[in-house]
Amino acid sequence: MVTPTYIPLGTITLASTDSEIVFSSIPATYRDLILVFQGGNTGAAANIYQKLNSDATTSNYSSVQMTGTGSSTLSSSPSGGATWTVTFYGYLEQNLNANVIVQLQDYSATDKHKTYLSRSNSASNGLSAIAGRWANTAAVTSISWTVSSGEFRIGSTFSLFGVA
Amino acid sequence: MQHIETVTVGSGGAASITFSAIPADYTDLVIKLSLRTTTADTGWNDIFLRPNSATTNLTARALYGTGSAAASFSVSDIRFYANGGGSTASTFANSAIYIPNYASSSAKSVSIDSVSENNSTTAIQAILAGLWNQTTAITSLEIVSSSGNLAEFSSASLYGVLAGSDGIVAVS
Repeated sequence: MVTPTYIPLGTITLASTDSEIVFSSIPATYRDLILVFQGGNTGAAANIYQKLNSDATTSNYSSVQMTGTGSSTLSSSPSGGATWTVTFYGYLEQNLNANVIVQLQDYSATDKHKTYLSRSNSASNGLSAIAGRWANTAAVTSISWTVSSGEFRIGSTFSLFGVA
Repeated sequence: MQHIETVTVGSGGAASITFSAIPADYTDLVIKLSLRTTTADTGWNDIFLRPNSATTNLTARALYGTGSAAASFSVSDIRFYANGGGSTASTFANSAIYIPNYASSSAKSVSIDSVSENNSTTAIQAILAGLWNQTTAITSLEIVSSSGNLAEFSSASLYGVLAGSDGIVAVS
């Protein structure tokens, strides 16, 4: 029998704009987590910021990122932030055309820092691949996303999956 | 994630692979591909993804590296890569495509990771953002070679991903 993957844990489609989306009470049942977003925002072209377990400790979040804008390439390694950026030129806009797929590996382990891989995609702005580290050994029980400008747009979808 | 269909190209090759009559039973679609063409090209060939056979209202941006340089481009199609038929024997490019909300009434965005393989000589590794700017539900997906045919043993597998709640995780 085929073992199902991408076990659905939670999903929301916004019926009104929202400044923050939080997945909480995440059980330690799975090996990895995958968060899939499609949507946009109500303000200027914007990034999505991700926080784990409401931790806003400066320097706990670091990452390495690369992007293509359609005409140029960029790479950088931001550190010292109190959140992760899961988009980098894969900006949200005032439509529902951006998507972001984030994978959190070994999220419930208590003997390692947590890492994530993000792919953000905007066919009108650019796209990125990001690898990040959360310098904390606590199991991840909540994930929050905020947006750098305006709010998440009506119709935006957020879906969390567990991978055994 | 549930398996919907796998297509493997037979002897003589095929100009395209098509998944048709895709049901609206899932939230997202995933396609995993292993592709090679019948051309004499020693590098790679472009492969086009065409939702509902569309050739318009398509755009994409890409970031790619070839082993010696990186660059970015934008195009009016949704593309990824297959090994050219002149590349190292028995090697196939592999690609993963994710399409969120494929049956929704919003424009369809696409995430693609695609790499060719050529035994340590020039190959391509690319990530691509695609958009089909139509509100129609996707009911078919064509995978079309830009040059030559898709070679024998090329394959594509389609999966459905269903979002939902486990009754434990809270979303606010």
